[in-house]
Amino acid sequence: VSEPLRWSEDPNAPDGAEIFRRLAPPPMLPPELRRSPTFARPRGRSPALRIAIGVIAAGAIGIGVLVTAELEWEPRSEIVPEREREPRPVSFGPLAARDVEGPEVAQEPSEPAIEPDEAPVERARAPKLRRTHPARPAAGATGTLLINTIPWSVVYVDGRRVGTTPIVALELAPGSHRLVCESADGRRAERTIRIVAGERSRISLRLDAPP
Amino acid sequence: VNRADDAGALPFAGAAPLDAAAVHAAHADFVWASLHRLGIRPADLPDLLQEVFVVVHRRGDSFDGSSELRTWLFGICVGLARNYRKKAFRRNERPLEREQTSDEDPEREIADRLARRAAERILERIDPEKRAVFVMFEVEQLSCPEIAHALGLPVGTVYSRLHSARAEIAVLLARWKKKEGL
Repeated sequence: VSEPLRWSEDPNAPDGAEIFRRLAPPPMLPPELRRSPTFARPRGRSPALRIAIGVIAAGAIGIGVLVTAELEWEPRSEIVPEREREPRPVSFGPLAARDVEGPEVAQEPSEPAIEPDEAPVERARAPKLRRTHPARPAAGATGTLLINTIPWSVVYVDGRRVGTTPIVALELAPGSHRLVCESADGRRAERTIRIVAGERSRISLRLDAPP
Repeated sequence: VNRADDAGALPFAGAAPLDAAAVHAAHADFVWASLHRLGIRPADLPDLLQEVFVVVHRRGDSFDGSSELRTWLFGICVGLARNYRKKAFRRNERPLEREQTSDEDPEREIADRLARRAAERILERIDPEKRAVFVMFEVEQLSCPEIAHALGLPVGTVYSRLHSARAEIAVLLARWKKKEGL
């Protein structure tokens, strides 16, 4: 293949090709950039670091296995005594949770679904955000709870984190449960709620500013 | 095996990892010129030069010596130039540096500047690898074997890229002329 003619010398060059002659050739590399920069030597991971990573990874896997095994194990009597799981029709009235067909407005803390903190002994005993596993209810023998708060909050039931509000259908074993709602800015509300088997209950709370 | 590059006298034995500082000492000029040919604006050249050698430093182990070092460096430049062009804000930036002007003929000065802008805009629209070959041939007046040597390419590749670049540029030139009503 022979060397092609440059457009500047070629009579058959396309019209307007002369504009490329006005372009400047590459500028010179400035002297200050001519000096070679210092490059840090890439370091591999040290043996101690590798061992540490291995130990941490093994620990994480072990914890994962333990947690999985514990989740599968159902501690039936850990939170609620067996007799409390029985449906207790007499517990309706001011202490019963309100039915879901009720008014949609946010309720004051004196909502009938709530048992005010009137059992100091129980409150003292209640674990604060302790991660335990509430008894997993048997299918068909649960009540459903809807939880909403203003502002939104993280919800713990019997010390176990169950999610953030709004929670539309939380299946819970019948009986008393400790409900803690904690907002991102530190507002907090604690209630003891009573769940009735087969019924849908709702609780709406307005979290008070921290003292 | 010492496969020293005659231009840079840089030994790059196949298995040994590259020393980025030595590559910089030998090829900074080539990288600088290549980045300009690929369409990097003068104001951004120092940054891109540094980015090229950061890549060389990081990926020096992966260079196996099977190709010419300059080809590999040019490939890095092409990749960075593509990323550079993708960033939309570059297209909307105007360089702050004053273009060199002469007081002799203002009208001609303006015509020159418009022509330069048009040429740059046309070159921005073609593939960076073809652009580099075209700029080396038409602007820097290098011969095809010289370009092939500089870029570490076969001469045939240089011819085909030049041919393809010219075909695309001819179409863009015709469009520009029509739009300008020239």
